[in-house]
Amino acid sequence: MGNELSTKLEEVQKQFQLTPDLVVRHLTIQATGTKAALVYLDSLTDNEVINNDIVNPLLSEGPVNKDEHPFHTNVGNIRKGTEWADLESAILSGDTVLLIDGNPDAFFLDTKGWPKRAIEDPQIETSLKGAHQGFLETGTQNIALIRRYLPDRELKIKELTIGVRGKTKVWIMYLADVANPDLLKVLESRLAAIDVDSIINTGELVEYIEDNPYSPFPQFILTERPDSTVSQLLQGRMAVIVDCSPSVLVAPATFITFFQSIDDYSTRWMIASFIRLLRYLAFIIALILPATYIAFISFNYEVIPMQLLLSIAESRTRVPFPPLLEAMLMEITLEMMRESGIRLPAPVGQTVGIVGGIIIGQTAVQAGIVSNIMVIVVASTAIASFIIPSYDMGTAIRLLRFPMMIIAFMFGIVGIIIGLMILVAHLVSLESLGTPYGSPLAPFRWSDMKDTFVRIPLSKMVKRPESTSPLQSRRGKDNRRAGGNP
Amino acid sequence: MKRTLCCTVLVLMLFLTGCTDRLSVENVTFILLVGIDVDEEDHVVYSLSSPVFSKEAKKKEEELEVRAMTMRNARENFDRSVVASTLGGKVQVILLGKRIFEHKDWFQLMDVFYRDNKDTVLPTVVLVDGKVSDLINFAPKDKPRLSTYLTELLRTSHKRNITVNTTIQELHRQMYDKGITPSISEVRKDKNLLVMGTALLKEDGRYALMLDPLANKLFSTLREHRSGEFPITLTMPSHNEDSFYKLNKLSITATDISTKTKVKYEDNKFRYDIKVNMRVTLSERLYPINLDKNAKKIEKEIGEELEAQYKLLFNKIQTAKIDPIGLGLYARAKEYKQWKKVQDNWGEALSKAEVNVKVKIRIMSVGSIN
Repeated sequence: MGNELSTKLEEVQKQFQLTPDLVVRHLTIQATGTKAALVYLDSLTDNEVINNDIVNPLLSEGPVNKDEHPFHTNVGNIRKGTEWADLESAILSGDTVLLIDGNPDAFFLDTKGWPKRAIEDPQIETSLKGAHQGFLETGTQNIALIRRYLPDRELKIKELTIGVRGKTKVWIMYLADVANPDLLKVLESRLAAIDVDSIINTGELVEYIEDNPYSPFPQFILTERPDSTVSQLLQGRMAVIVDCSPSVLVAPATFITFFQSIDDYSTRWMIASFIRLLRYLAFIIALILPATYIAFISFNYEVIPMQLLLSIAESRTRVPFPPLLEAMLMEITLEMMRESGIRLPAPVGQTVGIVGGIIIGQTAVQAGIVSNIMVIVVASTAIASFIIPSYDMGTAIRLLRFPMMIIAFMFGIVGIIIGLMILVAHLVSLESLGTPYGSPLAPFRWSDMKDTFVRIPLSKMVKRPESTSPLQSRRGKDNRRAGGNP
Repeated sequence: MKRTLCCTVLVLMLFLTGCTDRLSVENVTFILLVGIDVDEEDHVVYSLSSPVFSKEAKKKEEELEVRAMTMRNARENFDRSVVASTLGGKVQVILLGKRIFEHKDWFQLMDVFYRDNKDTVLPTVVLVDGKVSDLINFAPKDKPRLSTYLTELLRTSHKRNITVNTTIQELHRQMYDKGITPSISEVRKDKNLLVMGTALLKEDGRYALMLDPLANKLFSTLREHRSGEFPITLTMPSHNEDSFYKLNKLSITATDISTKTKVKYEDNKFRYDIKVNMRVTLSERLYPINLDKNAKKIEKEIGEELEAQYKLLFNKIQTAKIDPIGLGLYARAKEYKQWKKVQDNWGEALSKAEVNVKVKIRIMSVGSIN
């Protein structure tokens, strides 16, 4: 880089053209009497730290120990660099660079500070009894939120950078003596292979590393809850934190993990089991109820009890459309209502949703566009699809409903069975980080059944799920690895 | 790439096969009642009744009657007249006129119900004492649709064991099993619809006799699938009936019935020993008696009275040379060699058999008052 301060500064100015927030402060270090300059980006740094902990000590404090740094400062995290590229990335990531006349090194002082929001309740994954803390946009803070739950030296963090331009920081967190190292290798190699400009969001990252991008089902858990992330880490899974994104990726996932919620473990086990069974029921209802309606009234009326059949037929005679069109009409209206609900501001959204739903439902029946039963079917489908705790799984079901309806319209109940069989075949062939997605059902793992359809008391649940193939299968006791790193 | 292509082709092939047998619910005329009868000129007449949903229609259902060669042929005639295509998948009741039972082989007319897999084997078979057309055109103002009304009526009267409930599936078995003869519900339409009891048929399908509700209850206690309530009112001969109101009556409800049937072949005939254990609650008593002191006596009296009734029932059955209870099934199971000899003439053999019924009564409750 050279020794002359003025040439170094010239070079910096050249590199950062059209950067009005670049600040260069000239000063003389009190301890040695040499000239120096501080270079930083005003927008990414904490000004108070610079003034109180860097400028003040530099200007006022006496002689220093020559072996360390040739200046005084209160900042703890100081790195040295000699390359221009290091300097550039340090400045851009919010560090302050201290250049000293006659010294070939540049000193990078950690002064990061940018606009942050306060910790809030998670928006999508609300919970009744869980913590009211959601992840934030700052990766280091998210790590802090997780670490607070697990003060364990085995909680390891690997840092990676993804993106040529964005240089997004990504951290893999895992319990070194629990998580399977083979899975970790797979995850690392997939992350390393990503070749993009930048990763804006965790959802984007998922697309680059998931096993089957042509599946409607989510293959990784995306969560905004630190507590559920920790619970997954303890089960032997790994978390990927992406800087600037408030959702954390957890891998590997299985189909049933999307039906588990953090509340399951804090409510009484019987109630939790009941609610979990309810979710599986809701999954089936949301998937096949409209399809079953179509199949029943266009092919298999024999299965409907006579009294119900008479009332269905009575309300159907007023409807001029075939059952599929009738169902599509209502389902698409519902999907539109749901999508528009996201865009509307919260207080208005609810009103519009309820009023729109009631008015459209009521008047569509009166106008003879749809039948009464169809409105009931659509409404219960909508309710059922909201019960599933994972938003990604919920949307997958919302989408799959439509092909099921079409196939039911063509082949009746046989069609629904065909659809379900294709679905099951797809589910068992899916993988997440190379581990079977259908586990613990296919391949069947008896010990994992304790936390699948029901949740048995926690005291009886001594083993970690086999589906993550953890190094250490028993929970609890002091079976942590002795010593430090492996 | 190959896989994607393969999948695409498969999906496209789904669309190739037609949607040909799709028929939406509103385009179907559901036949709910089917009637088969023989008219005065000895022609077989088919009739049907199906609900109408159109708002413009004033009547709730449409009825049609045709002379036809077969049931399927009759459907064609219906299709020429009714609003939508007729479909037999929801038939509730099959009404058979009494004149049908004058000739054997009538059962062959029902072939289509068993053969066509779009039809159902669950409708109840009913014998109509009178003309089927009178019943099927009956539209009472104070009752729901005839099909609904009739179905409910048969279901509830079976629950109280006034009549049996024989589906056509069950009828098929009763017709072809050599160890049992058919029994079906019998109704009559005078001013109102009335469930008369149970019609018992001969092995070849001809009409044999009718059981009134009381006889049907006793009959039902001996059958393999016992269900519902058994309220029985008895006349106690040990008490005088000089009162104007004939107060020697007692009503019981049998709650817990168990039977044990033993069969033996001795002296060139079958001998049946049937033990009936009943736990009853007393629901009505018109003559004065101290129930606490005389419980044992009453139990015995009821038992004897019931035994007499059973004897009457078996007399009727044996004279008619039929076996609606299925005693032949016991003979086949226990005395196969002897059964084999007489199986084609089982009614005859049973009429010669000796049947003893022993009834044991235990009163569980005498009600709220003494």
